Amino acid sequence: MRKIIFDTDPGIDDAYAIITAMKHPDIKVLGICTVAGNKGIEFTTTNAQKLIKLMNYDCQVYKGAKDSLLKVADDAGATHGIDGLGGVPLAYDKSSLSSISAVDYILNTVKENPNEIEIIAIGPVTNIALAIRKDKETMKKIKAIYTMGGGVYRGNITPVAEFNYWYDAQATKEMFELGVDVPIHMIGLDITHKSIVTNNDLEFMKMTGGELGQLLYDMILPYVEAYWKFSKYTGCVIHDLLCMIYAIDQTVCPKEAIHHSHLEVSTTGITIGQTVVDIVDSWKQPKNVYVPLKVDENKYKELFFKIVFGEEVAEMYRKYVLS
Amino acid sequence: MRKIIIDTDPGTDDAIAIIAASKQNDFDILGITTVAGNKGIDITTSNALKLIQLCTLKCKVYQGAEKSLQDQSHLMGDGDDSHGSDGLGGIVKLDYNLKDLSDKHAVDFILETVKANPNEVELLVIGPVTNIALAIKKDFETMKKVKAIYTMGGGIHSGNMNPVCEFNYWFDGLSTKLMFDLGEFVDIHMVGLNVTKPSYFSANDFWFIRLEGGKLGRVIFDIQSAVMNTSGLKEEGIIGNIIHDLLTVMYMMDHSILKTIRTKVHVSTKEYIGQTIADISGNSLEKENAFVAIEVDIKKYKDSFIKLVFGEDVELLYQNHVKS
Repeated sequence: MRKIIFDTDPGIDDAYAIITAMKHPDIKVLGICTVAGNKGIEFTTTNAQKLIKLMNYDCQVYKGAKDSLLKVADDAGATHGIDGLGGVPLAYDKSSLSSISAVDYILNTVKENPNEIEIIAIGPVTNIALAIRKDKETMKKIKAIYTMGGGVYRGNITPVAEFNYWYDAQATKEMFELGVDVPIHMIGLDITHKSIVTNNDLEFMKMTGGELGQLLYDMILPYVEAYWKFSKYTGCVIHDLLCMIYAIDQTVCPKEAIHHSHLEVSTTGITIGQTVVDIVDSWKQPKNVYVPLKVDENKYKELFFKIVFGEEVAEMYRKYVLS
Repeated sequence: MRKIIIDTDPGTDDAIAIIAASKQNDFDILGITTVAGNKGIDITTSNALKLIQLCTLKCKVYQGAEKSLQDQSHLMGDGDDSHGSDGLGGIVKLDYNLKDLSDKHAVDFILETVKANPNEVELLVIGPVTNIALAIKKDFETMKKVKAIYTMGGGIHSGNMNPVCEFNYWFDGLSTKLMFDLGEFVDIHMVGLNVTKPSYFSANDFWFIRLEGGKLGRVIFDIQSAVMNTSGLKEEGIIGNIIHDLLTVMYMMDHSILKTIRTKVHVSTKEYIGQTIADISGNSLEKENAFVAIEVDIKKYKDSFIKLVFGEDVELLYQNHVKS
């Protein structure tokens, strides 16, 4: 069993990623650490608790940073609906919130399971940076970090910056300094925007996915509206889900397109949050990131349907949607 | 203005066709006649009344045949819900006003209207053709003075009730045969499953209509999304839905949407009732009775529908951004 910790700000796309991990037979989600980002910390923490109850999963939520190290904004506005989960009514249990902080939980868990813990960081990475500041030696014993953020050739919140990294550029910079010791895989906008989940896909999910399919469909409607309004996509980009699927099966990205490179993060001025990646290795600097720049979008979506809804639905997806 | 009577059994696809017809400037819709088919006559009639209100049409509804001339409706499965519980998908709530219902029978309305406007009236027939057959039986000479019939039904080597039979014609094979007998005197355009099936609207299309189509777009989305599962995925293996009757009305407006061949259509009334049998090789020596659609310009069809109902700006967005 792979042992993973989520560091997350749910968030609709976070919810998709977390549910997928919880459905995977070879993955044990040890805990969910929360951070402010898509919404404020109270919302993202409650939302994480809601997902645990929804999936009837055995783990706890560890509340993390309320403020980023380098604060530029409160949240992502209305993109994720008023409550961050598209307004779908979900209950949660108070008992699923631990009294341990996210940073301590990460450090304790890594100490107890050296070189075994994988972190799925799909929100701003403030907690990761704080843990590194507190105990860098322990953090070096993380097995791998999969982080959704950044981009090589594009941005979203600014022309050169992606939301998560822009939201806490300082923390991002500090996380990547760990990248010489711990493999960090950056799932950036270059490939998330090449893997649009279309409205055809979503209607298929609604029709074949039972109760969970209907819920995930209802949850994502604000996204569909936002992506049409701002990007003219007939569908949406579920960034964090691609990060999770890649963590599950790296072959969704062709091996030759995964670049092991040197990455720097801008922390000031109009470039704040930008990831500058030396793809051609002209600087000859230490390599601190793995960046996939191509993705097999059909394989990605098929894997999602297979993991969450089963092989039968995945087969229908191949037959009726992909072909 | 073209003088048009719509003979229909609404029906989720009939509804979209009627919405489109109501938007066409040179269509003077003289009346809507109803027939049993997708649902029983009470439901199809009240749905026609609802569409009159939704589209603010000035004409009336004339209730028609309750039973087909060659009834095999008992063979329809109980679970046949391809048009939803109320025939319009079961989600949208639409009002109707009984003052829009005439007490004249559909058959009489058709005959009187044709008599008063000889060689001018076009019939858009998008349900089983029982009313047309009854009118032919009652007064063949008057029916010869119909200007043209556009009928959705049949298909060339294509079916939906079984591999070779389409629902409207299957529902009343005998009436279908009688209608095509009139084809020697009246231009009959047959839009069958061989062209409607490939020209389905995908979920992406319907979502576009929902996002950019305002209130009417939302109504169309709701009517269609309800049956995307039952008649789209389960029956046809598509993510979306076929709007058979819409293709028929869009072709009526612009003949370049479909390529047709003039040939003889035979209708089976014994085995595989309602099957249309036609030689489309172009070498038929028989006396022709119909224009049979054999090819469809799918892009032109969908683009012109979007433009007609939602305007040129929305059509441009559709062309530029929507991959069906």
